Amino acid sequence: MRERFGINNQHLEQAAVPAELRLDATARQAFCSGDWTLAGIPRLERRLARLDLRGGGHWRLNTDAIARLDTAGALLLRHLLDRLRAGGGEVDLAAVPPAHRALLDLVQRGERDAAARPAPPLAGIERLGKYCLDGLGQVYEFLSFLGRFALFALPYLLRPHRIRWRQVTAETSRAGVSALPIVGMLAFLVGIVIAYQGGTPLQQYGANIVIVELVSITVLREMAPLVTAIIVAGRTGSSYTAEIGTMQITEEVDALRTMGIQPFEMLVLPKLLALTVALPLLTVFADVLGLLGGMLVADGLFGVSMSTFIDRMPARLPTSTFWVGVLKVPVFAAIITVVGCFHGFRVQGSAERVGRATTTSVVQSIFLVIVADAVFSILFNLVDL
Amino acid sequence: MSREAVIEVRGLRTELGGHVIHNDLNLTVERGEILAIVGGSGTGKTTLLREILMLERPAAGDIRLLHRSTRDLDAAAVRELWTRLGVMFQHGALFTSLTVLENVMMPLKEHSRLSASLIRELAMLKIELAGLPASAAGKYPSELSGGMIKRAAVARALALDPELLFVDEPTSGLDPVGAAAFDDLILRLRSLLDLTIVMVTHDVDSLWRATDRVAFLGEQRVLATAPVAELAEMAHPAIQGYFAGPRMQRAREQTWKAE
Repeated sequence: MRERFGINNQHLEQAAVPAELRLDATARQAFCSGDWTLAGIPRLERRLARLDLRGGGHWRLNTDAIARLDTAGALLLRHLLDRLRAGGGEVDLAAVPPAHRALLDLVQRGERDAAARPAPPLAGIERLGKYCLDGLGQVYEFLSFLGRFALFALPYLLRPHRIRWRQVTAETSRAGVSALPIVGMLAFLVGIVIAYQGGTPLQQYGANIVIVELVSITVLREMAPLVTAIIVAGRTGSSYTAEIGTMQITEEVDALRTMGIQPFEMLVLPKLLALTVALPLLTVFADVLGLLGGMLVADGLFGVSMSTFIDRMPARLPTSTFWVGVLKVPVFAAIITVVGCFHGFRVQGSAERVGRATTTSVVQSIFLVIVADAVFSILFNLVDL
Repeated sequence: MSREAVIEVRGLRTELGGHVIHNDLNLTVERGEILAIVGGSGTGKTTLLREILMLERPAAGDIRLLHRSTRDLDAAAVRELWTRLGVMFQHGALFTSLTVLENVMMPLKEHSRLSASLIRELAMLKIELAGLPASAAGKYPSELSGGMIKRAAVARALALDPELLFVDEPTSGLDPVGAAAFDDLILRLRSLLDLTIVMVTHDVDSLWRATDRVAFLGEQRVLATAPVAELAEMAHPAIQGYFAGPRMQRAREQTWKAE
């Protein structure tokens, strides 16, 4: 047997003798030779596509000289045969050895062609329509998930002894305590940036002292809650989706159901309670570090000492500045949990879907958190807070 | 009758985590036969298959695959050899993010320069050969039943017209009807495509229906290689223990009745 060596991806082709086809128009004979194999036929296939065989009349196919024939070669031979016949004449197969004829029969064309054609891609307007319908369908699904979960969770909240508190504490630690360093550091940096950027124009008016209000209001009302919620959506919301999505694929969710344990009770409710507790606490922590960052810049660059800062803050600002920031955070927590779990439960099929669901979940929860924040701004404004 | 040996395992020694799995194991597979590897669990059937497939390296000994020693091949030669083998893994190992058709087209796209339409037609041919309906081609593996996944895996293994087909536990997890249909598929493919088939199996019915020879693994080596009817008569206690089980007895009686 011939040894075959290769060094790159084309090694198959190097090893094979290219398939050849010679058409003898006067003798009406088609001679095939060489390796009619996957490796040997690519060049012939391209040539065959350009070949004009419409001459008509009878042909005699001769495949005696074919060294090796596999299913790919047989398929091409079948194409050749069909093209020769399409000219209108008969094709004589007397010079085709039985082994070759068996392979030719094997690749006999059936309904394969119809099935092999891929579905045509949707045109622009159709795609837009499908996209909109899919989006609406998802909104509907999300709302029904929310409804089912609310109907399920409310009775539980009235009977707190049935809640899995051990899991709640574990989730709180996972989502809250371990997020402290990153939340603290980013809030600190945000405080520095706000004080630095806002202080310069204030200094031009000699209103350095107003930096206290600037930093306090921005950090307490908006930046600390938003930064915390966004980090937690990326950290914890994504892990909710991935965890539930993977359990969905491995049928663990179904296993829970058949054991008489509600997936909502085991997987969603503890997460919701945990995050509703952890996120406000994280926000308070972010408040402190954000203000600290602002204070350091005010002290170092704009001559507002730390003690002045701390004295002026309660004098000039109502306590509602703090409460407004902390009170809207539980809503963010609910958004992150419900969106994360919703996308987890939607996962079906393969591992790749888990990754996709996680991306969607993070993007959507951050989006909804910011929308909710805007709605809160309007509402608080209406009640003069 | 001396026939061409396509796989020759000589003096194979395998150690896994300090345990000796195989010691001085010899096995020969001849062109065109269907050989089953059987043995109790833990006798290293799947490990042997993985070593033949060059996925794991034996501690000692030589495996000659299609007349080439696999001990000191460079990466390119190993790749070339792999294109001449088809493997159906135990759980199918289909790529879950691709449809059945795309799964079968993948090796073709990687290793040939045919036009997209011919590749697609060829892939559909393999899917049809594996006994799947054309409607299954557009489906994702998660939408298929266990038996269909195995058939799709066979279709992919056949994509490059391999000379050797390895199947790991082809009928595990299938119902008796599906398992019998799979045995028929193996037999049909062998006669249609001139394949040499090596299978690891636990299925007693498959042994009697779809194999030419059976290699019995035990005591860290191949205790015997013989047609199943001869093997069942051998006096070795391990072989007797295996073939005396009630399920084996029933499968044997059924084969006799059928004949």
